[in-house]
Amino acid sequence: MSNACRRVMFVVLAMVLTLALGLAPRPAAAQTEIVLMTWGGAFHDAFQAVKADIEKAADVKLTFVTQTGAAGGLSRLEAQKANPQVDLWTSIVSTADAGLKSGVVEPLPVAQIPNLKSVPDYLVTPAGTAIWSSLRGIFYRADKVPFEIKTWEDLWDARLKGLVSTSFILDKGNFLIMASLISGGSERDIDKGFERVKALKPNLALFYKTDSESIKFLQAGEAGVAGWGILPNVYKLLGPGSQYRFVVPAKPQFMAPIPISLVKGRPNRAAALRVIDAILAPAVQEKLVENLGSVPANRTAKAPAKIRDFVPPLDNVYKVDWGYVNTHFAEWESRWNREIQTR
Amino acid sequence: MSRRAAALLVLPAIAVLAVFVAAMALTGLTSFAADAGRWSVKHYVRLVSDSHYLGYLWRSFRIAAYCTPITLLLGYPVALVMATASSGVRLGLTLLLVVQFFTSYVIRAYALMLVLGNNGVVNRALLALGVVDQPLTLMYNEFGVAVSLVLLPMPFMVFPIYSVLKNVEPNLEAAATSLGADRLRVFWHVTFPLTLPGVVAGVVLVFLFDLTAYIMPGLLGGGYFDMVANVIYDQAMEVRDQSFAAAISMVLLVATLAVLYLTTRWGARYAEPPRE
Amino acid sequence: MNHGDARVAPAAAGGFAPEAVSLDRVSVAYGGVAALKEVSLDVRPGEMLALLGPSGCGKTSLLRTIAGFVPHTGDVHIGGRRATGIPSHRRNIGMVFQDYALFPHMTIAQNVGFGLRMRKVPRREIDTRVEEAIALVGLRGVEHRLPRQLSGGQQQRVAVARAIVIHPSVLLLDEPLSALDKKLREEMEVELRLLQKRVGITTIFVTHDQEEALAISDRIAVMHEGRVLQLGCPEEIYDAPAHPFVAGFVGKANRLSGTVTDVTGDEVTCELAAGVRVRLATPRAVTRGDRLQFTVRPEKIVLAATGGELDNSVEGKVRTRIYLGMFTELRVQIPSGDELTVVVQNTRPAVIERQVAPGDAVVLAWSPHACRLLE
Repeated sequence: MSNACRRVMFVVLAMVLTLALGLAPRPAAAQTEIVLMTWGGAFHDAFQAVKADIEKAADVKLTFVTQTGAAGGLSRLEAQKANPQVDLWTSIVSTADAGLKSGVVEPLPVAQIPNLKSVPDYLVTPAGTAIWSSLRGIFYRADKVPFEIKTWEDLWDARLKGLVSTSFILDKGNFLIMASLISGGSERDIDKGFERVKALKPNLALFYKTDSESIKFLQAGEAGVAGWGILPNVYKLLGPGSQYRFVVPAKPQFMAPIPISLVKGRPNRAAALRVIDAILAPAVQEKLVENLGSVPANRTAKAPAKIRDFVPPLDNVYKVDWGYVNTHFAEWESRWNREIQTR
Repeated sequence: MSRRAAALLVLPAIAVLAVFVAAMALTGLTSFAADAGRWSVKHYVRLVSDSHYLGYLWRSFRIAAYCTPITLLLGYPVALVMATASSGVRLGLTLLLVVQFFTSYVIRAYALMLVLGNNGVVNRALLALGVVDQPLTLMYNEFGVAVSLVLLPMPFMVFPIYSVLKNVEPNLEAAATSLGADRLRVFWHVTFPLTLPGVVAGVVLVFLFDLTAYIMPGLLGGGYFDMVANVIYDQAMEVRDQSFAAAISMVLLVATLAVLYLTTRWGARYAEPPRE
Repeated sequence: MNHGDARVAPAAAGGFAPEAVSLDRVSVAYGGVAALKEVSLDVRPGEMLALLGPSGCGKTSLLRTIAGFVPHTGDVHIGGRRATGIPSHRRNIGMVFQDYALFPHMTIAQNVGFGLRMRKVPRREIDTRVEEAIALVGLRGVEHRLPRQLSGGQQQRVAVARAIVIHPSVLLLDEPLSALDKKLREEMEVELRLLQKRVGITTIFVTHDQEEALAISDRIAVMHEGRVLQLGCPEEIYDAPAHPFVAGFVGKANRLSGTVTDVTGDEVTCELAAGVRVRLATPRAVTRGDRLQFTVRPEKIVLAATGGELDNSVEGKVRTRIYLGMFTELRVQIPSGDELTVVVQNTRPAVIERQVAPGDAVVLAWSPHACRLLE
């Protein structure tokens, strides 16, 4: 082989080696590493604030990876099924259930997490335990809306003509379910919901698919009201002097418990369970929710002072049957697109 | 260079290609998957028999088909100015387009919202001037999406045309002038035909950009003008019907390849006639 | 100012006809750098004029000025009509470019017909004239091919056909043959000359090749640094260079200088260094003691053994000898220290010819009329 050839081969070999070394798992640190897949933005910041506490309590090194959405996270877990790269995963209930069904999530060993004794039973499922609950409600701009919104029914007020935005996709049709509930139906009697939302059409300006889209629409002034608001992401926009308002109507109330799930097939299962336990410890809980404006899962932890002003007593929380929703969602989606999301 | 060294050098390219082909093949397989590990064409049957979903495909092709020529009409003069203007103007235009390249589509789409929205620059100006007394609906409809599909892929149109344009032999234009062609006819008979390879490249890139648009319909369509990529995403990620999503993807892929094939064949024939 | 006029007004009768192209104090500058400096030039109808000069002399700028491609000061007239300010596409000029500039996306017939289409000539007439023009340049049968399917020489002919088919007032050729190899170039020179005479079109062509200029033009304008130094027929330019630059640029020339020692009639004797005396015929008056500069062409000098009795004869020693087939080039040093180039016709085969070798002593001889006094 010629010299030039040998040199080319050498360079290629060097490149391959560098690449291989870069991709190879780093040598095991003294501490066990636990990878938590969660959202970016406010969620990442909130976790970052309690990282040290968790690491200390669970004796692990905690690393975060970002998912763009719960559905995106699930897709990633399914793609990595043969060789998972994540130990723990936060999502929403319906997606966590889907993960359990598809086998990427392991049924939660309740007995091995001491702090679960302080978490209400309805927040714990085999797919995972809630680490906090984020509130759903109406997010609006006081400078665009001529009155103070208090109830879900207010969205139908004629004064909101062309000002309301909403979403079907976000929270798996929860807005539609809400509409059905206030018309005397439920997710099992969804026709009432469709009728009710059809009546909302004069008020509807546009639709969003993610809560960040909903915020953009409000900021640009293209909508005055986001009919299905998610508190954590708009939390930082609230406060004295702000034109933004968040309302949690008294009835029905919706809370999305944010579950953390144990991914199947990872080596440091015990350490991962210790991390869940550490997240559920009251002190960590309070710090977490302080930054998110959420309700802690551990009943001995306190909700942040800022939300106590506008959150009524949470005694009317409606528990959606997500199993039922999942089996009908495709049908609803197609119907929504044909009947509602058209002009 | 020896064969072995050459093989080593093309290896990464082959690996990348293999991943692509594998992904395509997997999508193809998924689209034929039915329950309980059986194979079936039911997803295709559902797609073809449901005018609702077929409508999204048709809509995407339709809007790409008319937005692409508009982008060409607007982009060609920009390329022409870049190729002929002083180096200062050229640098300015290049920077403008390159900055676009490096700005996320979300930000660019949002910027467009601030222009076209009810509270946008256009409507505020029209209201202030008293041209209208109600804001015009420039967004959350086909118009808004079309505007974004015309403007946002502009660099994909301008750069290929520019790169061909600046290599057109200036003597050809001088020759045409000496033969009695005024500027317009020099352009139409000589310059433009010679830049067709660039035009074809630009048209193909922009057409595919428009066809597969995802963010623009989401933000500027306001949910009223979803395109096929939005439907695929919803089916795959939210409805979690991977097979149906794969079937739509496959139909889109085949249709795209067909368009690509026809365009490049037509373009090749026009730009470089076959030898006798 | 049409093509017919040019045909009936041959170059020799040009004295009273309006100039086909006339430049009056034309200056051109590119970004402050002067390319043409107050050039005035009259081109006679039907003549073939060469613009000859080294690169950067302004010859191409002059051509492009006539074509209307460059902004200039001064006046340009084409066919007796003021062309200054008239855009190129309305000047009715035929132009052939160095790289031919054939439209690569058009067939040969479409290329040749382009100018006629731009003139809105009826289709039928276009077809006939294109056919004629293609036949004229001897390319029948390639009408439907593309330029890149033709050889360089063929492309050159197409370019010429395309330029003349429109019956231009003037044909402008920018180094038309420089892209061809030597043999083809010589063929094309003849062809171009014949074609030009047959069509009778006023032609201006740019070249840096003096042989080409001498071979095919009626008159040559030698240019240097943005000026026309000398305008004249090939014989004048070659045998009576009016400027040291012209003498040096056109053909080879031995330059000598000395002091006048004697004047008899129109012949003077000039003494070079080391007492070498040379007699030369001079058209202008000189007096004893004047310093003179003059040239002698290499082919005008003969080796005394082979030549007749010529007035000047100088001894010298052969330095180098280059055999070139048709002739042999010698470099001979004479006692004054000057080295003269001498060209000897190889009239007899080399086996018979007496071989002059470096180091040999020779006697050089030339006529006083072979000497050209420089200004």
